[in-house]
Amino acid sequence: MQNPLISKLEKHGPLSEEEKEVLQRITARTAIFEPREDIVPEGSTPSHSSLILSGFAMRHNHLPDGRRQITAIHVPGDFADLHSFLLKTIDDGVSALTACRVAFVAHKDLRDVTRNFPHLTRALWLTTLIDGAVHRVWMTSLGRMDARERLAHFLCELRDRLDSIGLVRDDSFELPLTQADLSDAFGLSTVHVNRTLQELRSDGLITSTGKVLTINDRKELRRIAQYNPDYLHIDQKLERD
Amino acid sequence: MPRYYRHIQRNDVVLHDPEGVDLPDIEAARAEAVQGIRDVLAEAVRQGTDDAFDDSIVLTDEAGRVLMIIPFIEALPPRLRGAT
Repeated sequence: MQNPLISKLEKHGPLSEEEKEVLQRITARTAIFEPREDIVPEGSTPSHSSLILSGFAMRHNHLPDGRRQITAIHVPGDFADLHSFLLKTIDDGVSALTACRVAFVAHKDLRDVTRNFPHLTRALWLTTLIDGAVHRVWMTSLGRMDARERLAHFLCELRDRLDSIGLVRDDSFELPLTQADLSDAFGLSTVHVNRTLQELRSDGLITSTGKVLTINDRKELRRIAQYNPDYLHIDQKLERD
Repeated sequence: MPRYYRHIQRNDVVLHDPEGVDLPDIEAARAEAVQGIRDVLAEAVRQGTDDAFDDSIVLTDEAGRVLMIIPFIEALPPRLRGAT
């Protein structure tokens, strides 16, 4: 299978053979993480940035009293902490939702990329800007949407992000989040999450079998969520020099 | 930890909890269900509807045995319970 970082960056325009070779080389060191295992521990100061090659991961903040907010879901091709290259100490944490294969990209290799490959540098910068756009949309969802809108919006978003990396078939995709995870991501109780999902099911909008979710009426789900995928900039082209 | 399921009974319809949550004991499961009900009712109140107020949570164990039925109304602070 094609390196998911290369696939993701090529959505924004073709890469040269040399650029692809560099990406292959700097993502060659990999490790497997079990579900719930920390990929980037909270408060750590890694000497590499972690790239998700397969599986799902979640980003989270904990309050001192133990309450947790999930702030993002990461899918293959996403860096968990590209920003640790410059921020050094990680101010939140990333852990595996499912078993994950992760590449450790040494910060010294990122330094070389920024020195020698301006197009790759801008492409990586673009990915962090899109991560920021997703955070802003989540903030809007958390601040302004009700439970049904929030969950519908998330399902629309996850479908489109997974579709862009070839992980959706007939509007079916893996949803590895438990009720407790969804609860911590969307500021709802687990009872409210389950009730809302069951209502979306009984309205015929979604069905699920185990961890696989199917969207049966994408148009209606998008209408409920007032969903517009422009913020994902999935096919946004990046100019070359 | 044992797993508890919080099905929602609405008139004749049951909204199933297919997944459940792992909690240390039945007291924790009850407390978690009560918090959940308050969350659902808070949104209903914000939206000006009262259709969830007659629902109940049917708390079961992994074998499907009913451990407790919690009417939504019981999760309200005492002074609000008489309002329906």
